[in-house]
Amino acid sequence: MAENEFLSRDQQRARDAVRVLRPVSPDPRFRARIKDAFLGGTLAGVAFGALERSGIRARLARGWGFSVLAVAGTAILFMLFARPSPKDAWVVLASDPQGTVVVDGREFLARDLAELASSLRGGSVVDVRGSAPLEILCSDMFALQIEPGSRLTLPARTGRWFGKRVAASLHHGVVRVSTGPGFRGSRLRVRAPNALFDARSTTFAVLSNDEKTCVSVVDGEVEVLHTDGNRSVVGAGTRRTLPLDGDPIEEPLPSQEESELRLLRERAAGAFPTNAI
Amino acid sequence: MHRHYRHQHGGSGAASPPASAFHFPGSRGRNPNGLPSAAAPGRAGLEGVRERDPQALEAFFEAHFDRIYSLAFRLLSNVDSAEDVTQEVFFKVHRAAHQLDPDRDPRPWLNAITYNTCREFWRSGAHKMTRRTVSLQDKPEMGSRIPAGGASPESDLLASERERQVQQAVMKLPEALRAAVLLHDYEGLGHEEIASMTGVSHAAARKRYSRALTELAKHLKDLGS
Repeated sequence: MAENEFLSRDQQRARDAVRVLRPVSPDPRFRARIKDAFLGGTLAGVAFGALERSGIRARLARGWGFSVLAVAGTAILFMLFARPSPKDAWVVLASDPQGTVVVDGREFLARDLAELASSLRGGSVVDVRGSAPLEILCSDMFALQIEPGSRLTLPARTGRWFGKRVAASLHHGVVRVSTGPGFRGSRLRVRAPNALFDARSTTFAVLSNDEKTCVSVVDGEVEVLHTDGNRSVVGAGTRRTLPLDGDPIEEPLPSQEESELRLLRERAAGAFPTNAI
Repeated sequence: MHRHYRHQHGGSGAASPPASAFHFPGSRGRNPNGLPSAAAPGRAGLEGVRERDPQALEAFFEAHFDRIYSLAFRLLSNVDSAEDVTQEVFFKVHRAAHQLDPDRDPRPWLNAITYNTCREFWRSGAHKMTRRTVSLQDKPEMGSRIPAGGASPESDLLASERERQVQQAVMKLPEALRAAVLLHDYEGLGHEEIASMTGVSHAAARKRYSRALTELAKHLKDLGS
């Protein structure tokens, strides 16, 4: 059976066009060069396959190189800038030598400063018993002065990059707060039974008892969030009282409270480590 | 029934070497791309090629080099690429000379090496670069390497122009179809041989050839041939 029987007229024309293609002679110089090398056994391969493989290898190597560089770069950046936040480092500045402090239900003698300090953590519930306040310092973040008869849940220290908002809870009593140089850019929220107090870099006090909640600000300002959803800002030299029943009262800061806060601020300023991590 | 044909290159007037020039049992006496070549070495010559004897290598080179180059050029349509492929083919031949079977026609072996080398080239970055930078029209010297043999310079010119168009149309085919039509109609191989070379079934090789001709006819019409 002839092949032509399977081909259309157009196909036959195409076939004939290819069949009459003439041979192409190589360049004589090229021919002579290849002949010499072929006979002498010195002909080098062009190796397209190897070129292709080397291309793939090169791409893979580039890919690996980029990956390694990216991982190394990320690790270096992490080491430089994203060092993990240090743990709480609490220091007891002052306490009643005769008093006791209950931390998370465990009672410590207030004079055993080191043991007491080592028991303090962010989130610890602290009850101060005695006749003098307990002054504690959390690294370069803030200093807290907790009056006897008070119960406070301690704030954690703020993170380096994340966790810039920390919170303490004043169950009852009085706590004075003075923020340190490491607190810059952070926010401390003090929860009281009938209000929340948000503070940035400032020195302030919060009092809470069965009748009222007060906030006293000696410098900076504190934002107050009432339980009814209202917000207000308490500026420096002002005290705002939030009775459990009745309207808020704003008045100039009493001198006694002001001097207490200024003393705390000065003592804390001298106690904050200069390059704490 | 499939029949291997002996096609003539009527336009070129190139003389076909006599079938008896190839002293191999089972040789079909084809006329590979019509290229006049020296008599291929017989069994003793191929034994010499296996031993890499310079005289045997020379006879082998003379017998096959031009045909391999011509096939490579038709498949690639680029002088530099054809030279690279031909060089690679003969490099492989020299390296694998000891594997040559002196009792068999070396042309299928050479054709397979040439086709596989072209495939390597097509897959390579070098080919992609060539495709982007050089076209057939960029190589006017190609025409000068096509041996003249027409009755007059005018007929040579017409034949060259016609060839240029056919080659252009062939180059528009996908590589697999281009190989199918060139191996069959330019190189004179049968479908069975092409199938084993290209790693497809006989039926697939025939189908590929038929598709190639259909597409080629369409491209030729588009080019006004």
